[in-house]
Amino acid sequence: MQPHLRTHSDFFDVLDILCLDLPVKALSIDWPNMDSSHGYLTRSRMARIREIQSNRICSLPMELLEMIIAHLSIFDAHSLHHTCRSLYHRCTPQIPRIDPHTIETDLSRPHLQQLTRLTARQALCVRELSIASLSGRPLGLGYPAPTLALRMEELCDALERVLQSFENCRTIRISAASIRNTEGWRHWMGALDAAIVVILSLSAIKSTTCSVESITLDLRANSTAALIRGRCQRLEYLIQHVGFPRIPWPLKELSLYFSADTVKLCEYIIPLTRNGYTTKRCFFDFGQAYAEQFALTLLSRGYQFQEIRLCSIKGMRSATLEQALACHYTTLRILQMKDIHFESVDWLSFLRCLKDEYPHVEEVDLVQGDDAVNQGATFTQNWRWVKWLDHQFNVTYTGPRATYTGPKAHLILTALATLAREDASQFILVTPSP
Amino acid sequence: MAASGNLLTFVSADNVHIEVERDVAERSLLIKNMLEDLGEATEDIPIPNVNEPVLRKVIEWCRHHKNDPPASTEDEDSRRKTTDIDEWDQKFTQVDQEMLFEIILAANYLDIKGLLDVGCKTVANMIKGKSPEEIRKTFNIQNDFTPEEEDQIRRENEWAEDR
Repeated sequence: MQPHLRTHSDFFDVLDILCLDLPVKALSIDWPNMDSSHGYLTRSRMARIREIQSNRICSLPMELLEMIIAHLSIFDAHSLHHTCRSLYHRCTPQIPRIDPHTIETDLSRPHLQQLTRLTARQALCVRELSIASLSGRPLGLGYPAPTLALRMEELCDALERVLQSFENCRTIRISAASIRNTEGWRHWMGALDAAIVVILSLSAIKSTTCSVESITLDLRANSTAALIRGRCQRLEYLIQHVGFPRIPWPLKELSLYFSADTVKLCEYIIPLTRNGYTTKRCFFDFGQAYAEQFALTLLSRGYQFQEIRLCSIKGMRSATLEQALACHYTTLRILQMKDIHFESVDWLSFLRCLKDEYPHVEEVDLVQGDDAVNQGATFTQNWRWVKWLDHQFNVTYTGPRATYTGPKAHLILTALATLAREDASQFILVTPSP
Repeated sequence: MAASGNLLTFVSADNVHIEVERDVAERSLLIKNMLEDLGEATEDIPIPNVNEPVLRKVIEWCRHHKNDPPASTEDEDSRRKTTDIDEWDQKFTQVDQEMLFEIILAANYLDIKGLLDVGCKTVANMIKGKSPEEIRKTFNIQNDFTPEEEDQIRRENEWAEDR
């Protein structure tokens, strides 16, 4: 937009309009005859010009502002909405469009207070509660109680009240992944570490009547800061004294993410998945840790999983995994294995076992995405095996699909090719190699 | 300088010539569609809305992400649910605000969905968990509400206010 202006007052009229209504990408003023001695360039007007030049968020085009708001929770959008006139006018139409189904909280005192003040109708709309750091700050800030026990009690009470009102909430995600140690130590005062937050949240869930079906615990942390200076070892003490809360109703889905730093925590998390739960889907990501023992323990606990997704596990023997998976042979439908680095592996035996002995398997996804092995080239092949030939009605039922994604030369591909040669009529390559 | 073989030449708004590999340039749908329409590009490609430092940053992002699969609808759905940004992109977006907003505008103009998404998520992360006053400080926004307007807004949004 390049307005042609005749007088200085025209310029300031346009400036006022731009300030309120229009997205301004950049404002440069090149008006040789206008200087500060001229009556029009008052200090406030110069300040306004500087403000427009420096304050880029107000001048973003509407479509971009919408895209930013789409990533915000209803509370954050309200905070942005309440910053200045321009954003108030421009955000107002966007606020009702924000998905009320997902609420994000960092369990800070003001935020939990906001959640308790949602209307009953708003609370009933919530389907998913995500407990995660906002802006990289630690969890559970703002509780003034002098001792940890009192702070925990206060937070747990507030969270229980919130969860009571979220009757339709089905999914809880607890994540330490986005906590970053980017601020000064003062910001960490009073914060609760992620391990304690896990315990408190599970205790609160346990004490309410909300029917959570899916729990995700994401304890991937790239620094001890994410677990508040590594004090997660307090978890052991707490579990011994408070006990680990167990959810007394069946979960449909359980996802656990660990990193090498936090994998020890799964020793404590494992009791969450005690026998008797009817969890259908599970996802374990051990973040490249040598965590084979944890993975095998989880898989051997007597569950009847329908969907198992394993990611980033090192140090296992394929024969041991074969044994652990056998617990699920009557229920297993989907098996995904991503970046599993076996200590010793017999892919042919492993895949043959899946093909021949698991009656309900529908999908096997094998992904080797390690850049070191992969060297940037990914390659996908789909195989399908014919499960059942009904000669009486002359109908062929095609069965499960095995998909391999990874480097072109891999033992998995050799094993699949061998299976196809052994049983050419029943094991077929769907996508030809490029 | 004309384009040769797999190399294209971009001309930034401040008239700087920057050579870029074709597969990197094609992360921009605007450029990709233009090249498809033109066939072989034999002349320099002007990028009139983007100056040199921003264009270099955009090319840096495109070069790093040149092998990324194209975004699917499913990805778009999941993007709405999370503001997670991968580690490289987090480092990439550690620039001053002026540059960040210029990158967002350039990504929008050049139609680079991935970069636009990373930029918008970065700004969203700068807003998350902050009070209006903290947001004003972060983005240098001047509070121009009259006290009456502030009261009215507070009444409208009482349920969402800090107490």
